[in-house]
Amino acid sequence: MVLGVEVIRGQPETKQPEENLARLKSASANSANESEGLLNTRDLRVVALELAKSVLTKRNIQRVTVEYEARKQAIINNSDLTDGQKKLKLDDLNRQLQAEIARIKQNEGVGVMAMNLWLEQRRIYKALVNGRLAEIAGQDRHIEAVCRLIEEAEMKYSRMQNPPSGRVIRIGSEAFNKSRTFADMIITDNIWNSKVAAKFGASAARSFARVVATGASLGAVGGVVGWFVGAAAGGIGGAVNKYLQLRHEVARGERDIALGLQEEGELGNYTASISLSSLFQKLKDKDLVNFVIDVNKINAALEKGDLALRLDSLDGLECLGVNITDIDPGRVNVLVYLAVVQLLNVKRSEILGQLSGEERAEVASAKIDDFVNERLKAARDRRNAILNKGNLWEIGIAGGIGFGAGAATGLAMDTFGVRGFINEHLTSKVARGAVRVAEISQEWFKNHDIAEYWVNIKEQAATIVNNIIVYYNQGSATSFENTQPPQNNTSSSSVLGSRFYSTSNGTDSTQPQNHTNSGGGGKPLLKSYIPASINPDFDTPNLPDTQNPEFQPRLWTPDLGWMEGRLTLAYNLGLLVRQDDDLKKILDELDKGDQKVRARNVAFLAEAIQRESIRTGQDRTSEVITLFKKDPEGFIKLQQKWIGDRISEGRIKEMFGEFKAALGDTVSTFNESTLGQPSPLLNRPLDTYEIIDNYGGIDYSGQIEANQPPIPEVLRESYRPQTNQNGHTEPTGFVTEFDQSSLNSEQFKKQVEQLYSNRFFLERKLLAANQITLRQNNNIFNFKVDVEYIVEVIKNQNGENTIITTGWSKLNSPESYNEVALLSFNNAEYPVLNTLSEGVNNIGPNIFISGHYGDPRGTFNILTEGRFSEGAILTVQSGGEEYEFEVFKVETKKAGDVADQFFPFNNEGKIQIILVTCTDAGGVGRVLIYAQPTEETLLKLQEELRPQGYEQQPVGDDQPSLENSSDLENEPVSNTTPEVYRLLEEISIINLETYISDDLLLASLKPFFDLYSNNNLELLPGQLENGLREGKIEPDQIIKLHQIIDLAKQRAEKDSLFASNLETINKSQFRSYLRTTYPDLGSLHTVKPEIEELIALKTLVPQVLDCSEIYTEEDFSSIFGGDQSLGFPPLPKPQRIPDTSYVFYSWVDLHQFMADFARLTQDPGYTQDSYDKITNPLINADFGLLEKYIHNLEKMSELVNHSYLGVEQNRNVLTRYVENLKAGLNSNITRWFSLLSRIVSFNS
Amino acid sequence: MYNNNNKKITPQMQLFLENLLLDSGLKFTDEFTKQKMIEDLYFKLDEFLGIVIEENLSDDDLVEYFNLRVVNTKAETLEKFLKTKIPNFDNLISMAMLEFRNVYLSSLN
Repeated sequence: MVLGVEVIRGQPETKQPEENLARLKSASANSANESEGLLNTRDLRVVALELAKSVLTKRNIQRVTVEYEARKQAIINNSDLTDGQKKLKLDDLNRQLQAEIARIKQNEGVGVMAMNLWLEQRRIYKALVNGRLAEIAGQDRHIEAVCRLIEEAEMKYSRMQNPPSGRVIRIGSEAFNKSRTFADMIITDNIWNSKVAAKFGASAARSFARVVATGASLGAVGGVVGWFVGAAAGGIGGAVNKYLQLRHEVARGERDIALGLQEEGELGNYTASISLSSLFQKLKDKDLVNFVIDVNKINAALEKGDLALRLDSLDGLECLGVNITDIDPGRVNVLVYLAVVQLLNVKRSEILGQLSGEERAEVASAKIDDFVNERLKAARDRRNAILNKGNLWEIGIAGGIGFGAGAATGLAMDTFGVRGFINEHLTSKVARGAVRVAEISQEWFKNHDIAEYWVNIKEQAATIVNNIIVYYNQGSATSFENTQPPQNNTSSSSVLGSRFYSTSNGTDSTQPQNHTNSGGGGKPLLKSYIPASINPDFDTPNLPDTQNPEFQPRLWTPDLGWMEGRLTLAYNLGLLVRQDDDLKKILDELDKGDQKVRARNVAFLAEAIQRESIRTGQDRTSEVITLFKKDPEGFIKLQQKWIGDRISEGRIKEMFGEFKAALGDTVSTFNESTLGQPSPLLNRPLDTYEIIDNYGGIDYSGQIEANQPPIPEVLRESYRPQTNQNGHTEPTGFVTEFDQSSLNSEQFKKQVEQLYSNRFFLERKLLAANQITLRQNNNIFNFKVDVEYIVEVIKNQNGENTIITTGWSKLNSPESYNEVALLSFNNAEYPVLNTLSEGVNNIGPNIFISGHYGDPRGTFNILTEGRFSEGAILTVQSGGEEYEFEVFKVETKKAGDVADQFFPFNNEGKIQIILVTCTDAGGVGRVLIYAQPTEETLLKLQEELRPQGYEQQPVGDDQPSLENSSDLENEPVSNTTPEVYRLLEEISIINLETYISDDLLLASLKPFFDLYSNNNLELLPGQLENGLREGKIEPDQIIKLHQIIDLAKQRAEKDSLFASNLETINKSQFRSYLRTTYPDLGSLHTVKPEIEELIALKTLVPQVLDCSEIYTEEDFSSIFGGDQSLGFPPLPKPQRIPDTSYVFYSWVDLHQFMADFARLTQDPGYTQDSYDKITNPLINADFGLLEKYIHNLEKMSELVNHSYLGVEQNRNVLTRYVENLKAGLNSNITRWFSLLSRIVSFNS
Repeated sequence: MYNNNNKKITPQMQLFLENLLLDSGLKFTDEFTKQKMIEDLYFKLDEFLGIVIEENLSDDDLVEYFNLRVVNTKAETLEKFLKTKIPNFDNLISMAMLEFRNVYLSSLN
């Protein structure tokens, strides 16, 4: 691997790594007294670099050497080779070794540079970012800027399918000057910097002067006036013009990034003012690190003199020496830095005594920086307080006028190409003379601080303009009385004071701290400008939803072109499309704006709305579709961006499926093939779990020396590495073949089928697991499980709705080895799991123990890889019981591989558990462990299932019919006390305080309904009392149960079908009935979703619909017809049970419809036509049909009010729905009076 | 006096800072590095003295002082102003330099 590495200029000479490491170990070994001061960041710089080099190089060379020796011995011992062949192979092997060592040494520089990215503060230096050369020009760099560099570089890299080498990134105001020629990406702290403004001002002044001077050639006076006016106006206008020009370049795709940075805190007070904790926080906030290392634990390791080995425990560090292009460099850099800094968190005096003169001088200099900056801050606060007293308005107004004039000038020049025309054609002596005069004038202004004065005026103007924009976006741009400038902000609040203090390296401090033009998209930069009374929502700004796996927090402002400022502001303030006419305004803006970038703007807006939708929980798909209809290319743009953002393929397809359906033929270029392309970006997991304190003081020393992967202390004693025939550790990638013979018995098939048919039960068992253990011989892999949440999702593909249960649990391994993982089932909805398990979805419960690069969860891979094989036992402890699953296959996948749909019974729907351990990055891949229940477990589950009403499920031709089902009907239903406990356990598993859908809740109540239907309900209270006395039941469980029973009673009393149907048709009859109805179904498990849904409907539907009313398919389609032009697909076809008058329409489907309906009718973004299409059918529908619908609404409201969970949310949906109905009916109040009265009574 | 990054170090300041480095016991590998360190220290010292001056001006005097700075008042005029407004101005500067020196040296122990 060849990396674009350049040696950092100006690096101090370092001592030999061994020497440095030795002294650090010596220092750390004596660091018992923690009361002494710790070194600050700068103190650590020199030794940190050396340490990193030493550890990385030594460890990696050791690793390859050990591998070399093993391969060498294999060659020597190979009797099939002649001596000559052996010699050739050994020579070749030696060359490989030397090349590898050379590469490691080369990459050593990478690590050094990566750390310098963080540590070096005062030099122009070069660093490697994303494996490509990035030049960082500029001087003082706040850590914030570096964070942004990493983030932006990462984003840029993510967008490139084939990223070119040698991309240049520039940072800093100087970089801005040079950017036109050299940089692909510009990151500058502030283009309003006076130096920049002066430079561009001079440039623009020349152009402007040319214009005027041209006139001067016709009249002598023009030249004199021209250069003066041109210098002044151009000084401002030029800067504005340059800024806009840059934006245009970005918009046209000529440049990737033009981002104004916000310097935080004290300008010029960078290094010393940044505490380690704040650095961590910043990095965490930006999703650059996933975990924080516990300092105390690191210190504990330090006391053992185990620095090098501690470093080895970081996955990221490994990648520095091995595979930097395949991992996430931003994280790597951070990890390395943090690791080193933490490792060196030893006492100051011990380090100081060993530093060279220059190093000690730097330490002292940092101390002085701290001292002066602290005093400076106090002085600045006082100065601001004094100088802010007056003249702000005067300055602001003048500045606003000046700014406006300048902006207009710059815009005009840029828009009409005046400057270019002049540059090319008007080069007369007069013009040149005028230019010279303008330059002289500019110089004069500069020398007399007037240019700077103008810059300050301009800043004040920018502040006011910002406020205008804010007010405009808030729709209340009527008053400025409440507008307050930011406090503690010299540059923005004080014209006078700003010019007296500059940063310690010469960067001018006259930069506005908070202005819109900084372009910090995704971050509400104007918070301090917004009185909370104006925007009550401002306290909850629309920050990126880091918990949502679909959307990584990142900036995306550069593509926005001319609309960026406004829209970003609106987005940041959470105002986007929040008001009634906002969407219309934006559509109008799109029409008026630059059509060349319209698609990008559409894509941006669509994503912003999606984000807002996720944040608020409101479905706003229709708005997105409206936008896409405005410019279908925006659809493609967003698709491309999401691919770049590493949203999983499945999720993209799913999300765009709806859009595509709505857009129809207007988007012919929907590039699904692109989605199928392997993307390095997909290697990065999308979850954002955070682990704290992962290391626990574990001593990994033995494993390192033996070249073995680190093993938790709890497992180390039992670790017995498997060896292959060559005498070393089993290589990765082996697959143990599965002997299917033991699973082919008819009995086993029946058991599996039966169990699968009750999949919900098993899944719930797994979700309730409190411990999962993987064991084989002496290898034990142990997790504790804490259920985090359970959700139910609706997968809508190919026009079919399927209820899918997905559970996510947090797995914590015991003792000092903490891990987090996801326990999930049928994870079609969640891209992170899709990414990990393409191909293994929907074939049964899967356990995903998911780690990802950058945190120690990746250790799972190391632990499981090569250690477990066929025959291993996976034990799930749940509800006091143990369920054993036998591993029948283990396979290792490299990153990007798709897991095989291996399981032989897959097509028959057999049950299995797949334990997936993975790091999903860096080429490590994942290990999939396939397990199936042992026969004992099957029997145990059967026993547990039977009393709950899940009777034995026959297989094959001996299935029961309605005629011979009497035996099954008479099958006793257990109502023993243990059964009640088990049911209670079921309820407690589904935490009623946690969000779950009503369907899942009701599904959990099914056993109670079954008991009730068998007239056993009266037995429950007595059993409960006994359980309470015995301490087996908690009082709140009793309360919940009584609530449930009450609900069941209400249902039974109110819904005749509930009672009558359950009395007359038991489940076996129901299934037999389905077989008759659907003769082509074959085995039940092949249609499990349908079966399960229908089984669920048997309980649910009577509570949802008044089935005494007959809904025909035509009825539904006439109302809910699924008008694709309105942005939602047709609802699934209602399922009719033959020989009955009932059309079963699931609660879920109806709920979804109502949500869609409410959305469409309420959505302010819809046109009148769209609204009419929705409302007219209701208004014009025949009375009876509408009445049925309202009746249905009433029934639903009852259910919602008793659903315990999500009541408010669902009630809001219903309330909105009612409001829409009212609005729709209002046009014919007389005719619908009776209906309205019912609605009003409901709503009240 | 202290807001100009390009201002040359006065001989007095150069001597003060050289003595400071000498007293610190720091040894530099070359003269260039040493001079860079002096320049760095000078910048911070210059900044620090400016802060001390501000701290010793009343609010009104501070505004007046800034106004003088805005119009690019000559150094002599500024000095006269400061000596008028701040009693024992020279002593104040001396004490500030001493404080600076103490902070620097203490950071090395």
